[in-house]
Formats: sequence, structure tokens, C-alpha cells
Amino acid sequence: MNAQFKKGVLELIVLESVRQRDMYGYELVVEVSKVVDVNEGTIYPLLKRLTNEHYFETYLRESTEGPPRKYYHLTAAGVLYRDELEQEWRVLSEKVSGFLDFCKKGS
Amino acid sequence: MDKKTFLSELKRSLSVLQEEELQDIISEYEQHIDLKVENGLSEEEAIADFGSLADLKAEILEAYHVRADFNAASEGSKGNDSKRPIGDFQKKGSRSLKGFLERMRRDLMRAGKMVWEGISVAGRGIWKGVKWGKRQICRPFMWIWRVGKSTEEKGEFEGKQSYSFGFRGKGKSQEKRNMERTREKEGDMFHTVGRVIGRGFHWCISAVIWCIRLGWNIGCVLASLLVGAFGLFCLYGLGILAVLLPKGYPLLGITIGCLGMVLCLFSLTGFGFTLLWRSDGKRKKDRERPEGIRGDENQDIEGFGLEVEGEQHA
Repeated sequence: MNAQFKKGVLELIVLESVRQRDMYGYELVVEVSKVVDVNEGTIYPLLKRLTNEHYFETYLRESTEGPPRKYYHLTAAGVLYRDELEQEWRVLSEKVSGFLDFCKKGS
Repeated sequence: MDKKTFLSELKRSLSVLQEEELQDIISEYEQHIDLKVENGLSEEEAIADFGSLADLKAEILEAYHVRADFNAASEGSKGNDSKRPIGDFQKKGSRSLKGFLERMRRDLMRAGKMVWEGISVAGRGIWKGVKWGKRQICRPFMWIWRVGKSTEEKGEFEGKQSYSFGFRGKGKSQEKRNMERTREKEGDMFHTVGRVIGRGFHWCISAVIWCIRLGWNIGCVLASLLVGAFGLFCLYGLGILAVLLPKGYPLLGITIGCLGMVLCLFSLTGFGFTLLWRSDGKRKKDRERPEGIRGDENQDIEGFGLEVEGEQHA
């Protein structure tokens, strides 16, 4: 898949995944990878950025094996941002598919 | 590339970040690799999934809103530095630290010396000023003292007019000696009359000074007690405020003000008591009283700081 495409929707996918339940980094990478084939390294910077912009908050929780894991939780601002992104995505995809359909008919 | 080198490479290329952020992001990647290894991948495979290090770095820095070209520029120098052995780094670090401490110590010492010199110069100046002021204040008394004494001596030599020294009336200790001498020549009328008048004059002056001192001391004590009573009142208020404050009344400002008032008033009270005019000859005077009242005035004038000068002249 086109890297630019992915980059745009990755944020939405990550936000939606965390909205379902709080997750730690690796879990989230696995979850996102099920939807889009993504470079695993790029998820972490994204998480960091969303945290810095206060769409996520983090907390540590002990795990049965290994060191404590950092969990991500969607804030109220994050929920609003996610809804906004979803709206944009729907409008965009609708328009793009409408345009493509229109072109197909026309040709 | 194994985990260790990957992480250290990543760390180095992200060295523009704050230490805390750097640790944070590195630990995420470390944990990711660990979990992948747990799921049966090798470290190399796990790291290969991250793609190229340069892309990853650019991606991370973008998330922190760091300009990519800044990174490129700083990376050059960082790269050179990192080729040095670690020991070199530490040595450099400790050397700069030592230099910093040394510089700080020197600066501190210089500052301390300056402050000390300033204090001693100021102290010397104040001491000189006080001495000068004291001399100015004492000058008229000194003059009277000297005049009184010379007149007295003259009077003795010429064998006449104790009146004169009696009226000037300041040559007390001298006079005392004179009295003893004059007592030897009992028959001398002038001397007897002079002695009586001189004594009366002395008594008057000492009474006046005693009255002034009494008034001053009573004033001081009353003022101090008044201020002290007010201080106690403030202390009472402070107690009430201190009880109300934890109950959530917005009285913090008033409480602090009240505390200041209490301290101020109590120190004023203490200051008032230091102003008491207390010649340390007071008790001595009481003991000497049977011998004669003259001692009185002598000590009073000592209170003006004349005693030293007077002795030099005597």
C-alpha cells in the first residue's frame, strides 16, 4: 500500500484501537498491523506525538513477565479528535469514490 | 544488527532529544524487540521490521517537531565524537567538571573577600563616625570641665574665692580634694562660704540631672510597656487568626501581617528598655552616698563619656 495513504489513516486506526481498550505499544502495533501493513517503527513516534498533544495519556502497569508496560488511554480530547478524523475520512473517501465512479461512468 | 547496537545507534541519532524523552522512546523500542523475540523472531528479524534507521529517526524526530536538517547537522559532529573511546569522553567530562568547580570556588572566594572587605570598611567608617559624633557632643562639657578645673587651681594658688569655682561648679573630684585641704585651714571664712555655696550648686545640678533622668526613664518604661501591651494584644489576635486559618477562612494575609506586628512590637519593647539611662555608677553611688553627694554628679558626667578625658587632665 502507498506509504502516504497509510500515514494519513494510521492515526485514525490507532485512535480507534485505543478507544476500544487501553493498550501498550506492542499490542497496538500488532492490532494496527492486522488492518494495514505498516512499518512497526512508525507507530511509536505517532504514539509519542499523540501523547504530547494530549490525545493520549499513559500509565504503567506491571506485567506478569518482563518490565512494566506503558499503557495508552484515549482522553476526551482524543475522542473528539478521533471523531473529527473519522468525519474527514468518510467525506474524503466518499468524494474520492464518487469521483472515481463518475469517471468510470464517463469513460 | 543486534538489539544493543540498534538501540545505541538510535540513541545517538536522537541525541537532540531530552534525556527523559530519549529514555522513554528507547525503552518502547527495546520492549518491542523483546516481545518480538519472545514470539519466536530473532533480534535481527525484529529490527529489520523497523525499516531503515534513517527513516525511523526522521519519523521520530518529526513526531517531536524537530527539524530534520538540524538533526543532520548535529549528527555530523556527534558522529565524530562517538568515534572516540568512551574513556576519553569521561575524562573530558570530569575535566570540565573539575574546571567548573575550580572556577566556582575561586569566584566564591573572591566574592566572599569583597563582601568581607566591604563590611570591614563600612564598620571602620561607622566606628569613626560614632567617635567623632561623641567628641562633638562632649566638647562643650569638656570645655566647662577644663575651665572649672583651671579656675579651681587658680583659686587655690591665690588662696581666695572658692566662690568662683563653686559657681562654675564642675570641678567635683578636684573640689573634693580641695575641701580636704581647705578643712585644714579651718579658720578661713572664704573657703567655708565657698564650700557651702559650691555644695549647694552641686546638689542643684545633680538634682536637675536626676530629675531629667527620672523623667526619661519613666517615659521609656511607659512607652515600652505600652508597646509591649499592644504586642500582647496582637499576639492574642494572632492566636485567634491561627485557629481560624485552618478552618478555611481567607485570612492568610492578615495572619502574616499580625505575626509581623507581634515581632515588630516586641522588638520595639526590647529596644525601649535598652534606651534606659542607666549609669552603671548608680549602685556605686548608693554606697558612696554617706560620704557625700558629690559623687553623684561626677558619675553623671562620666555618662557623657568625659571620664577618660577628665582623667587625662587630672
